[in-house]
Amino acid sequence: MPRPLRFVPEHSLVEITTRTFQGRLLLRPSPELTDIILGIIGKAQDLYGMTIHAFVFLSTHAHFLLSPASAGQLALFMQFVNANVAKEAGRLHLWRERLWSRRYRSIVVADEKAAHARLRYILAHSAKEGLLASPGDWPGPNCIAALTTGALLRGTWFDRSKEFLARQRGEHTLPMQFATTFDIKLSPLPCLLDSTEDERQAHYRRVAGEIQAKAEADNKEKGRTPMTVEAILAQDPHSKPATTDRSPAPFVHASDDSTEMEFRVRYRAFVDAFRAGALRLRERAREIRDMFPLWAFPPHLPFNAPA
Amino acid sequence: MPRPLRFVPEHSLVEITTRTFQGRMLLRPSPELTDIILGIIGKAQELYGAGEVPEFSGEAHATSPPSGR
Repeated sequence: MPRPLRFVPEHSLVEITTRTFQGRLLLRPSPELTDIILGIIGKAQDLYGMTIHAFVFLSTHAHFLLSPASAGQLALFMQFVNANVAKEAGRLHLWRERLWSRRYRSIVVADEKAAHARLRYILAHSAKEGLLASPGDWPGPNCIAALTTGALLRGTWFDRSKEFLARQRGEHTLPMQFATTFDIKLSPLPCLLDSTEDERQAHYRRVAGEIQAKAEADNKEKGRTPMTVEAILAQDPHSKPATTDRSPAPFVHASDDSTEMEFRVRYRAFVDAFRAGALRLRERAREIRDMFPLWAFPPHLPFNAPA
Repeated sequence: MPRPLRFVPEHSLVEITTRTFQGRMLLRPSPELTDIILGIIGKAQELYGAGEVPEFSGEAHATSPPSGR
């Protein structure tokens, strides 16, 4: 089945999922990797101005809750994050070539109730799987402390291109010579914009408490004992879980059928317009090809942003 | 460094190399796999024009890395 078209209407909230190759623990946290991933996210936000509401990086996958200005901005942001996380995690974990399973998946969150549910889902990571007793204990990149206490989210970005060029020139380089620190700015969900910072933190603390209580009850019911942080950090990043709990991605996150149907109608109109455009493009293909030398593959078209 | 543009002048002879992920022996031969790969090449040749392919060497470098494994 082909991938759905990237339909991100203006002012949309989207949830992003990106998974490691074969579900391996290639993002297994370490203090160094956590610092670097936070630096990459901070640098990407600085470059592309992304509105970030929440994120979490487990060992096998990552989630973001974002409000992109457009599908084009989202693509640039995610391309930067995924490419650089793959290079850095691959370097630290001695993993060559591809690190991600496939392109990230973005799903629009269509209403307020669904937005709260998706935020809760992201915050619940590590506790809901029974990995740790409390989601706040996860040693990898996450935003729980920032949301519940206002803690700073700061990481280090290493400019490997400049480092490489300096080495090419025969210069002696130091590990932190090409490092820059970046702070990640989290924005409240659109539906929480009217509340104060203190009210939002109290809300997030309440949600985190509920998540922990549910995790405790689930662990008891399933007879599972959460791991320790030390055990998580000691896992082999090349290994993969015996089983992975994956369900088909929903088309849209909506809290009721009518909202979902309304989104599907808009998507269908978008697909129809896209197909009509593709047909017109094919009709003019000869004209476009003639702009290039014979036997050349012309470049793909850029994102169609408003003028 | 970006990849060079694919410049293949008319009537060129080209050598193709394609490697497995991390150099793993994912193309380790077996009678079944050999038969299937030959079938895929044959189907591709049928689909995309045998007349334009002067010769198939049948050699995929991924199956014979420098170590000789």
